[in-house]
Amino acid sequence: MSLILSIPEDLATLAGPAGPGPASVTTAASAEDLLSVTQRLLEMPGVHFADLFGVDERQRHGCFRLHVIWALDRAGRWLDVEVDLPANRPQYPSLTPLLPSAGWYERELRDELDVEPVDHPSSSSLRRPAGWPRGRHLFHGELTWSSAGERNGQTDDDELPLLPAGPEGVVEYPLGPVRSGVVESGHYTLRTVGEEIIDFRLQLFYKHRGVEKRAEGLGLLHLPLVAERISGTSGFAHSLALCQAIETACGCEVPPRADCLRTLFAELERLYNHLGYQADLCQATGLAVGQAQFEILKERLLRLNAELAGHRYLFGLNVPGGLSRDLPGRQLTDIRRLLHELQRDVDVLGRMLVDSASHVDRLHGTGILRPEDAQAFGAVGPIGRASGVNRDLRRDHPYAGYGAVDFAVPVRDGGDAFDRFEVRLEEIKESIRIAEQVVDTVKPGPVRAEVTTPAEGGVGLGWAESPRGESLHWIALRPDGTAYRYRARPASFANWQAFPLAIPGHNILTDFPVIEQSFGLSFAGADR
Amino acid sequence: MQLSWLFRGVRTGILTTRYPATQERLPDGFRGRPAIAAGAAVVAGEELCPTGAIRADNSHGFLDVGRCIQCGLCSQADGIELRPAFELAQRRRSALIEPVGAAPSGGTEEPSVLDPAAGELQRMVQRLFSRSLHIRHVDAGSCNACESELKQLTSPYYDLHRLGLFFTTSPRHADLLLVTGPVTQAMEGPLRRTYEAMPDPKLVVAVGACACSGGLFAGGPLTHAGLEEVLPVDAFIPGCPPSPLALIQGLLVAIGRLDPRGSTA
Repeated sequence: MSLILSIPEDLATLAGPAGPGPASVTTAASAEDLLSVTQRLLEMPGVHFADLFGVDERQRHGCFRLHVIWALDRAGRWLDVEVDLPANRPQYPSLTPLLPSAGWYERELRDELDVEPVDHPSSSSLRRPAGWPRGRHLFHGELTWSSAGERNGQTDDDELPLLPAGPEGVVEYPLGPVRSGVVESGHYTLRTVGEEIIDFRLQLFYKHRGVEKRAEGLGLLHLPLVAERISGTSGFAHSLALCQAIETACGCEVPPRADCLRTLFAELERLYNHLGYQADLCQATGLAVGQAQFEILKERLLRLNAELAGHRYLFGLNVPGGLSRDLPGRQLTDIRRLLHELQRDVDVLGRMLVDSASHVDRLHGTGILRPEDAQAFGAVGPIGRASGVNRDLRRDHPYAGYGAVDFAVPVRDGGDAFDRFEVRLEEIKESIRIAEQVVDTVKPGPVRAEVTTPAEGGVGLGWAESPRGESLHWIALRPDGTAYRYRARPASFANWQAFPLAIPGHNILTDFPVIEQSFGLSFAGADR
Repeated sequence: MQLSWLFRGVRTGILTTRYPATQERLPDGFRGRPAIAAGAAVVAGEELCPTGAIRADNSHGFLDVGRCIQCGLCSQADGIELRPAFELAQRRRSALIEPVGAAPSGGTEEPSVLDPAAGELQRMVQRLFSRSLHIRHVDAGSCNACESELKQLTSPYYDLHRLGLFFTTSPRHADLLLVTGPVTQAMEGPLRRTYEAMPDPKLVVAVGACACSGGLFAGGPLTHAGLEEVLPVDAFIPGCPPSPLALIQGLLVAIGRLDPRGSTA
């Protein structure tokens, strides 16, 4: 019995600009109704598909449970559509033909839970390692972290995607997974005719470690450590989203000073990422001094992090209930000074970059991700915003202290490398602005509240706008406070699905590194 | 416009550290490594530690620096404090496992009494590479924090090139294989092929807690518990991630220009 279809008005109210209400709402639908519910949600303005994952609930509820998470931006709310599937035949009609951005999520579901999205356009595995025996599915409840992987001695012999043989004159470049420079591992296949790239295939998941499985059975003390290490350069954002999910699950109210400081640290993380991004982009275009200048700024931020948090990447700072340590007052002065100098430096360097023809000429018109493709394939964060997807969790679903600060969200609609570059440059300035407001308005007080797991356990959804975009974390806790199931959907998992669309079409081979750096995505975030 | 970049660069001046010629210090609260008092502290630490780096064991107890992910949770126990140390690299995995409360080993490497020939070969290789070395990095499943620190090595603050160390993209030109990540199943094959493509003599270095011991992912179904399960390792650089200073110390230990430190850093 589908709750939504029987009350059509409620869905519109739920999704419209509404008054107060819970930040996330759960509802149930049947497998047969899921496609029509999806269709209705897609027709509503401001509604975006966010995540799709499954949980083995055979022990607790005698079924597999599918969760489809939607962002209702106008209402500042999330909707979790739960679908229970029978334990003996878990399948449902695939959403991908209707919703291309669900593609990878459903393949992951099939690999790791043996739930079949019927009529999914792709029958290939997303990230099952080659050596795994048939019938072993990572998220089946009977497998634990230590029991899940008796190896059968086979090591992965590359399962590279085989493109159909090209006509004469087409040159194929297989790049990776070991690639040039100090970069993450992943595989690209490029095909060119002359200089022009005509086809591109992506193969990720060489770095699949099983982060979500690792979290199962861990307690509140250790769970944030896992979240931080999904994608280390967005460690603070991920641990923040996870801690917020735990706080929701446990009904814990975080003290105001913790919310404020979390906002500050989240922006410090965004700053060092965006500065490093500019350095990487300068490296791609060959602007060596520009690269060095931004590396200097990034290093200053990392050293500030080490002073404030004892860790250059802000690991170990977020705990359920708030923060593990406070900032002594004198450090606020240090932060203010650094932000002021940074503002001045970024203004000057930003202008110099824009005036450097050798840099911007390589960005204009390169690697265009069209707005309609960005929408269809669920691009988020600065990558989406450079292609007209005007969404930012800090503004649309405020969390931590973002409700109390003033900032703009830069958006462009061209979707080329220059737009991606400009959005992140503007975001640096907005981050500084947010951080300064926090430093000026933060009040003394505790930074950590008690957290107790409810007697019956709990579930919670947490979110954060990481430097690369919308990151979602969902946790199901047992009554003893250990994790039953952890779901992490970093921004890069969404963005990588859109990446291939920006490659073919008026880009030449030497544009490829520029396009790749202009996206600035995380492999670890996608592979987990 | 190119001229203004030149002026900007010159005006910025020289920011480069002179480490190891001069000593460097990390900030006081920096979570470098735990210092554990013998007794009840070890038991409490073992409870708190997420990776089994602290083990209470009959007589004393052990701290495995190779498993430490620098989370700092152990410092909640009385008798455990964190020190901002960064010179943690060792040439042998066993040297990372320190008995709690034992006397420091004095900072020099003991000769390998079991296999004097191996020690001699090691020293010869180090003499070959001590002046200039080309490094091939492979990411075998890191979270990317290690790569971020490795990239900072060529930034003006650290300038790896002043030490005669360079990154190269081709394994054929490389002398040292630098590996981050626990070694996922999927990367084992490409990693081995990269190693085999490197001509002898060559060195292999494990960077970060994941490569040293599997870190937080040890014992799991999709990764190895560190690089040693896949390749012979010449040096281990602990940290999560190891800071650029730790990386410099570790690389210099690998090529014999620095000796590994004793157990109380």
